[in-house]
Amino acid sequence: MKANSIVLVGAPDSGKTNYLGRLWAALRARQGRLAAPEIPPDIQYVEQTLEHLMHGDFAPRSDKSLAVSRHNFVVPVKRTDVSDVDGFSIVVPDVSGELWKSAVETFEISEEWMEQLQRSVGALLFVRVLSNQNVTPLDWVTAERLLKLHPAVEDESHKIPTQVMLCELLRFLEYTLQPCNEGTLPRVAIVVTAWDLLDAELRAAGPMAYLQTEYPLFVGKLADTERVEVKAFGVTIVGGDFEDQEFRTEFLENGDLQHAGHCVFELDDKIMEEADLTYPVAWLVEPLQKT
Amino acid sequence: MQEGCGRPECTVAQTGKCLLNNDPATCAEKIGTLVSLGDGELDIEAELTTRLEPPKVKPKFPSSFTLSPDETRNLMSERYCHVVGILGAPDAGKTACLVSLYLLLGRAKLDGFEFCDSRTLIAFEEIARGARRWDNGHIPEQMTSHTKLADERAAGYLHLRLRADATGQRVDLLLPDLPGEWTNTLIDNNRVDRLDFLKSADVLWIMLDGRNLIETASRMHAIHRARLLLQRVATFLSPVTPPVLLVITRLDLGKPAENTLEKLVDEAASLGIKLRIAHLASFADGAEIDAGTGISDLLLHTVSPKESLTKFWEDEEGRDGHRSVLRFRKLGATF
Repeated sequence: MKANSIVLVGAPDSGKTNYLGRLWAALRARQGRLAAPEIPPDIQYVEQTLEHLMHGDFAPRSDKSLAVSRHNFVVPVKRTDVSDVDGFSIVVPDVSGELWKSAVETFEISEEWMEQLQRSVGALLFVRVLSNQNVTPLDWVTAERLLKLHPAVEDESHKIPTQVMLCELLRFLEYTLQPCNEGTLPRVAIVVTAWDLLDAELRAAGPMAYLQTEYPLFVGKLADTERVEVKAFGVTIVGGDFEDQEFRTEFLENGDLQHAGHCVFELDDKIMEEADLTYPVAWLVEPLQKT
Repeated sequence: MQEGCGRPECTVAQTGKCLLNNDPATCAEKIGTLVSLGDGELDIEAELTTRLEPPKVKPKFPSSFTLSPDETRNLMSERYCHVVGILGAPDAGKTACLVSLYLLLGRAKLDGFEFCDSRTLIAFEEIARGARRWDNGHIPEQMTSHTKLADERAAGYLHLRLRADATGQRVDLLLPDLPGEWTNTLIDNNRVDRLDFLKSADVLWIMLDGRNLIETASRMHAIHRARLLLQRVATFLSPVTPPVLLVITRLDLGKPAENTLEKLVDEAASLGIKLRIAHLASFADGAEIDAGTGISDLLLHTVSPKESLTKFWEDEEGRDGHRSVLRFRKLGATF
């Protein structure tokens, strides 16, 4: 069975782990574009993540037991919308936001990861709505203050703004992802997680409009890139926030993870909502299944 | 065979006697066994052929610090780039202008342009947070830091790719990040060896601190220095000087008098320089002028075809801007 490796890219706390857990549940539900007919040998990592979700919690960023079990998640999948296509495997290598953060800060990455990127057919690039890890760009007042600082004073508080981080990560993907057999551009799905935290107006405008508001540099780069094909998805993996006790209680008492959550995306200038949480991955591997 | 001692000052090897009166045969400081050279037991050839493993180097992505001249040349061979020559004394506001431009883009507030890409995003970020510092520790009433370059003789370039709203065209800008001292040494010592890239500039920004042109105590000297700079530039770039945008900074503190600026316009005209004046407020100390005022106009004039140099070959079919191959030139080469 052909193995297609996709890579999850994103800064710490961007929602990679929780999406992976929810993706596993969606693949098992076999109601989306992609389904996992069999249970792969090693599912400890995704099962641990799923356990958090089923208990009404998001997998915490600093969960050490998750870190220990973190390694490649290999799952054989089959497209459900086309009957005569062979199955294939999706390989999702272990994910660490710190690794990507460090790569942006130093431009360095381990040999193993560079090879992993070069082997990947596409990437999911994550950014989470309202994460306390998000960094806003400098403003004029702060910049003026920093420029006036005495040279001996180091600005310890500085962090790379999220939009710069996203631009750099996309640049790395442009540099490493290879075109498919027939010259089709590799795909990068931009996954805006915690989509449910936005107000109704922002949600109605769709993920690209949200990105434009928050990260204009990143959206400019997305529109300009010629080396990868991009599509933005707004994703809520359970349809609400477990911090909201009312939602959490309702979810635990009457909810069903397999029917919770959805993704939104733009199609023909319209914002579409889709219950299928495998869609971002199905879109990534779509060109490969055609060839 | 010889035996070694843990004390570096041990004299047994030279004199056979221990200064501490220890018996060399039973000394507690004695360590291991040293192989003496020349006793035939050392395989020199083998020692020489033993190679240390080189330290493992992690793979690197291309950096997004300032571009070197070589990297700039590569970019210019891919697509047409507008090279901007930026000159100005250390206090003129060059870095403040670049920082403010970057901040405008980061908040989508640059009228007439949208950000498309930059190969030097981290360099912009570093400059914006003042990570490039004065090298001599001078810190007068100064808004920006000096620019210290790794290679004293080469300029570092910042890259921006923007989309002009009016035309929809994408333009690539190369903006050198130079220390103001280079302008001073151009004026005072005619040092031009580091400024070769100006010969391929599409436009020059000559930055002047507006305060110096407003205050009576400094005005006369500021005009004098600006005139000298124009003359130096015209001589260096002879026979044709690119269009010059005379950028008067610190608009938030006021505009210089018209007759002050006329003196500089007249000077430029006498030298055959096409000059336009642009007013700029990179930061805003007052409430009336917004931070970044004037930067949009500065860019519009920079990339406007009207500002470009003499037509090498008049395009009668209106394809101006699309003939990248014909417009390619090497950095530092004259037209």
